[in-house]
Amino acid sequence: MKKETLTTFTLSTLALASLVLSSCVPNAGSGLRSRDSASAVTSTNVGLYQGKILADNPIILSKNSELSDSFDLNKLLSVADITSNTFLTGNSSCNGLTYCFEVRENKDSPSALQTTNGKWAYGVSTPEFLQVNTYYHLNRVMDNFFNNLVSGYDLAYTGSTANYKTALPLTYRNGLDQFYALQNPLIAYADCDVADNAYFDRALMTLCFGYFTEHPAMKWAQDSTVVYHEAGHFFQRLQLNIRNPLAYSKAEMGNIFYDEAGAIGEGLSDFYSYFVNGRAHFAEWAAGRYLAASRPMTEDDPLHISAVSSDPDQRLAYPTYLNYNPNFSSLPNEDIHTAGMIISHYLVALTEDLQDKCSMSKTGAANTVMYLLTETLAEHGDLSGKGIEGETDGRINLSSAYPTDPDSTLSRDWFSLVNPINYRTFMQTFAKNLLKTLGNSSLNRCAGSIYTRDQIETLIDDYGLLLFRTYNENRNHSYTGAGVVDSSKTPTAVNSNNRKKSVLISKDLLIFDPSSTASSAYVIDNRTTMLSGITSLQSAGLMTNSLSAQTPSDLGFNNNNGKISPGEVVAIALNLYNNSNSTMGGIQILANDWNHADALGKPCKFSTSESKDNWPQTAEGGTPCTLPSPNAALTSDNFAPVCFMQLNEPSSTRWVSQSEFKTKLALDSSMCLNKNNPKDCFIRAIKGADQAHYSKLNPKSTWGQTMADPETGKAPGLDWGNVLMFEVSKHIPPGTVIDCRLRVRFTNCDDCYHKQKADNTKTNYTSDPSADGYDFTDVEMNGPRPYKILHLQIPIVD
Amino acid sequence: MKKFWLFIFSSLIATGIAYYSKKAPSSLATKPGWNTFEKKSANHISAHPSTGKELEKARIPSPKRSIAQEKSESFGKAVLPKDRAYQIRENRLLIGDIDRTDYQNENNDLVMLNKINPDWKNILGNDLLRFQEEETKVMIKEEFPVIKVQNGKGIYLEQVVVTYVFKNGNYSSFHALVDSDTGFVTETWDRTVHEKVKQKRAEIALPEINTSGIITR
Repeated sequence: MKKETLTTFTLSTLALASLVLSSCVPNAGSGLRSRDSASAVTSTNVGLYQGKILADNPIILSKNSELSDSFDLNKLLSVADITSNTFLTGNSSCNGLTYCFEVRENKDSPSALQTTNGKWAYGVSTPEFLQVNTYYHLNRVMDNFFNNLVSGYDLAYTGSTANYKTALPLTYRNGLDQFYALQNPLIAYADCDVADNAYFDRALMTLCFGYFTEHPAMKWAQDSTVVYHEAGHFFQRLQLNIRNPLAYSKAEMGNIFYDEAGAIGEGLSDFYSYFVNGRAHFAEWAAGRYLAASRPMTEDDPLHISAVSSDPDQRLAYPTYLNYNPNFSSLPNEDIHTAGMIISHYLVALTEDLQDKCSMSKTGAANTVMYLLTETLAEHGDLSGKGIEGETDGRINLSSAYPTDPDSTLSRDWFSLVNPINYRTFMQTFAKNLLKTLGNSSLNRCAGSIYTRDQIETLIDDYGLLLFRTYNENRNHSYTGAGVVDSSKTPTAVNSNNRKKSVLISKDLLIFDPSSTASSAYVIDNRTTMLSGITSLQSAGLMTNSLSAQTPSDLGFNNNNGKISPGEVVAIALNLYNNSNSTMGGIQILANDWNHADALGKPCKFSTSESKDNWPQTAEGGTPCTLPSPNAALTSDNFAPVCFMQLNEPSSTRWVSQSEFKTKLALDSSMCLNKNNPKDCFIRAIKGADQAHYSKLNPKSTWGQTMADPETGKAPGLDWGNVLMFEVSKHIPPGTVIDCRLRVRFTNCDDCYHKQKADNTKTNYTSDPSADGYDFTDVEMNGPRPYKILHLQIPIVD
Repeated sequence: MKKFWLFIFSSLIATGIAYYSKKAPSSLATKPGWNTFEKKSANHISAHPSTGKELEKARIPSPKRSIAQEKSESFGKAVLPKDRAYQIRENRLLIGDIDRTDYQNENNDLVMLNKINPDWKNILGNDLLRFQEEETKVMIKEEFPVIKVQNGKGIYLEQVVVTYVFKNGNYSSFHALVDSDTGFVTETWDRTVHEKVKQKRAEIALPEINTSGIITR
């Protein structure tokens, strides 16, 4: 080899080697940095792989609830083992029941922080400290969570034999399958440039801990409970999707507006903080110090009003405390974070009860509760329809495997819309899991005995959550192929004597505001307002279909006259009224497609045993329909749009499907809102805005009265989650009348979730007395029986 | 001795190259996989491959990341793990009602209800910005192509990540399945969970006098 060639080769090799090595070195301005004197000071007395952290949030460490943001937090630091890794990264493997994550300063940092001397000690005011602090607490909660997951499998299985019906797939335990299947590694930004916010981005798998506008020295990442809470959202995504290992279509807790699934998700995330630090209060520093937004998890917390205590009669009970914010207790507050306190308080109380009744350690009890949450979420989130290991399809969330399932996204619809997680469904499944584990006499895991059914039910009832009549162990599989009760699958009944504080209300008591001066429904058709709503829903990923090409992007047909006109996109708000003497919680209004037309699209006139609807009369186009049996297969004929059209003919006026109306008008399909679907040619509920929620209705009150500020008498304005949205064709003739047959229910409804025997007072009886108390199946949830039916007869005005 | 100086010299050059390559602003580089659409005016939506700066602004992790890079690059454009028994047809992930027939065997007929429109991403970008304010951006990343089987027939879909970036700096992300023909979203999941303490309600104003004419019962 010539000398020149050798030299060139050497240079090239060295350059290449340097480049390769440099890929391990962070960019300027990211990881490898020289630091200020604070760093140097805090580097002392720190061993190899150790660093300095805030072991809890500054309020707790200082024991000063009024700690100033100008206080030198360096005085609160302690030494802790961080990592022997060169970078602030977690486990290097993302396979199996291990985890991987990394912590970076912010979005501009191309890699995790690197140590040059094996130490991780920095001053509190440095971004490096925030990264180390976040890493330490994230690693801690990860350790706890994943260890709990592994031990959960050992509770559920002996070898490859399940000890009870478990939602945990055996493959994960035996094969250490890809628990992280298709998950990107979690990346936490410790000094994120978002104001007054921390968040979990599920799609990009990032956590972000921001700053405070009015207190720039304060950071969300200084509060360990916030790290645990946000990580909790990440864990919930894993727990819900344990049975959904494929890449697509993940289940998630709630939508972005108020609903009970979202509230429970927030309460669970608060509980994850307790799970790690054993302290029943969230974010005293980040949310509590200046923002008055911290949250307790036990009734004995001094932040609560005096009417709340751990006395069984003074628990934070459902639905009374749904709108309660201990920081501003006199002002009703419809927010998922505060509404979630009911579940967090229950879980902490259960942890304490297990310590008491089952002689568990605090850690052991908290681990047991966390395992039960995993079981509960794994079953609810299963979008394959199985829910329990070894079960066949069709057990939960309908199932994509129904033989003639018209659309395999139905499981998602059932999970998020038709039979979603709410306080009733969640507590029923959670109670079932308590019963099959701690209440299981073949396991005797409660101090050598069992945690009794009465004990389970009593505590749940203390929280007003004993809203179910059976434990519904078999769900949709409670019936034989002929659709009659399978006597071998009788669900365990709740002891009704234990229902002392939980109140169930008939659905008939949910009505439109009866006041003679009140309006029952409002139309919002202001162009700017509606554009704001559409963009909010669309950018949040809630709208899962596109608006019609005939709807102009400036909503040019919207005329702000408070009526519905051709071509408009409108919101409709219902003025509902609780006509009972008890509080209603979790009101849900549905405008999705459902089983209320025959195969030809004619509107069903339900029998009195099916519904009190009594519409439309036969002369008006109503036709008797045969509802499917509880476990029948659904077909596309079982789904009809919520709205019918009034057809005026010389001999009669009748209600017809939109398809028939189109035919009568001789309108070409290309003029429909969706040219491929004449079923909702003229008006359609916008998917994603086809359900609305109210948190609660006080006795003899509307939502406006329930939410009114006691001082001013005024309620806050509605949010997008409170209204339904509809798109109207520009081709609909003015003067046309539309009937939209909506379904409503609420969480503590007596006859919206389970069947009752026929008698004079019950409105929704079962023809099979042996099914008394059984939950409605997913198929039945597609029909009229579990709901109060409300009609909107809408004139189209030019 | 000469060799020593040669080594030092070459090391210095190599170090210089490495330093320069790190110093160069990453924001100028385009990142494969992401496309940005921006609403310039009511009638004009621009499209281009996302720049590093845009990805950073949207808080999208840099492709340079360590573990993440290993994981995503090893599987190329798709992020399907190698050791899972996925069913594949036409190099697309099979989903839906796929257990009754071996659709991986392309000799088994599968009638497709739509076609693949090479312009689907542009249609999607335009649709996602149709109602948004000017200067709103949407960034779309293809994850992998899909065939969804229902009622024995197939539909071509694309799995994507959508990230909105608003004029005020706010942003939101979600996963979506998109029709490969129409470019319309058919399903979404993985919405962002916020801990905002100053979250404001929409405060939708109701008409002072209700003239909707709606009759309720």
